[in-house]
Amino acid sequence: MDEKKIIELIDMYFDGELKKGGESFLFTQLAGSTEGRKYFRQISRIMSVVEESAEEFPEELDERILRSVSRLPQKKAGFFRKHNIPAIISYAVVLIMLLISGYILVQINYYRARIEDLSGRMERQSETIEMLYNSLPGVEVRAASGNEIIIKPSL
Amino acid sequence: MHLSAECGNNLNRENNQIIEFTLLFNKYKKRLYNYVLKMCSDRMLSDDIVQDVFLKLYKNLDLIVSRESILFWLFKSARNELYGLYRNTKLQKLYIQTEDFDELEKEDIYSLPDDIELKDLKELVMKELDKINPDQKEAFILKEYSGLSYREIASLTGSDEELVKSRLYKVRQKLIKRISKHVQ
Repeated sequence: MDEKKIIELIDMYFDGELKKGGESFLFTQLAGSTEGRKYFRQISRIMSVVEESAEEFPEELDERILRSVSRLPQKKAGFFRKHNIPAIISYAVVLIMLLISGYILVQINYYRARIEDLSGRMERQSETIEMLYNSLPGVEVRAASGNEIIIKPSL
Repeated sequence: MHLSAECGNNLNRENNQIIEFTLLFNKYKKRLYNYVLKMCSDRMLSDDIVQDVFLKLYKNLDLIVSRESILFWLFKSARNELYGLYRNTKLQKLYIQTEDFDELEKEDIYSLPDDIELKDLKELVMKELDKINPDQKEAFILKEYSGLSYREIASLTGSDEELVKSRLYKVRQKLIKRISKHVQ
């Protein structure tokens, strides 16, 4: 394994970005790499100094921030913060859908009544027409000529 | 009756918000403070920036939907404040002090003894960081002092993870060259 790759792995190790199993692989590689071991030692020293140079959060700033927060005026919850907007929208949609379905139901009932009325009227009219046909006198059909048709067998 | 119930709800909401804020504040304060302080190297200024950022967080806490994004939100706000100040020339030294390390290498500016104390070493580290390119310095501070991952640094600085790795490597190389001989 080349030095560049080992150095990259060492950096990742100190950054806490080495995946599981990567550590054992790195240390196996380090055992055979003088340059890698040297870099590891140098980085380790630098990191310990850097770690030492991290500052603690100042107590007075801590107090100052927490005091400012408690002193902040209480926010008046606006309409949008106070209410659950998606729920309100859902309720509104449901209400509109209910109204529309009610309207459609009324319209369907109205048309059904009209259709029933029309079909009743049509039935009555067809009965009347049939009755009129039946009330006419009977028709007699007579032949115009009295010739008999003789059929002879052709033997 | 209805009014008192509403008042009670508001009080509860406020108390919950303060508790939640305090938990978040204690969780992130040191990481954020170190980032701002190391970036601007001015205690008073960093105190003000950190205070502003945390107050802003408190005011916007109920607008931040995902609690996982609070870390990103905090650092992004602090970064914006820092760069806003820089733009207003208050922090121009951040860049003015920065020189190319290769140029610096030509000079032998340090004649410190090999056995300098830890306090001096810390100062040395800070001095060195001030001389490093701001992008590299920022990546290093975010990694070492704020404990952000490569991915978080990349998304915060608008770069990619490979670039972050390369910046960190360069800073370490510079620090090794400069101070490793003094570190026991």
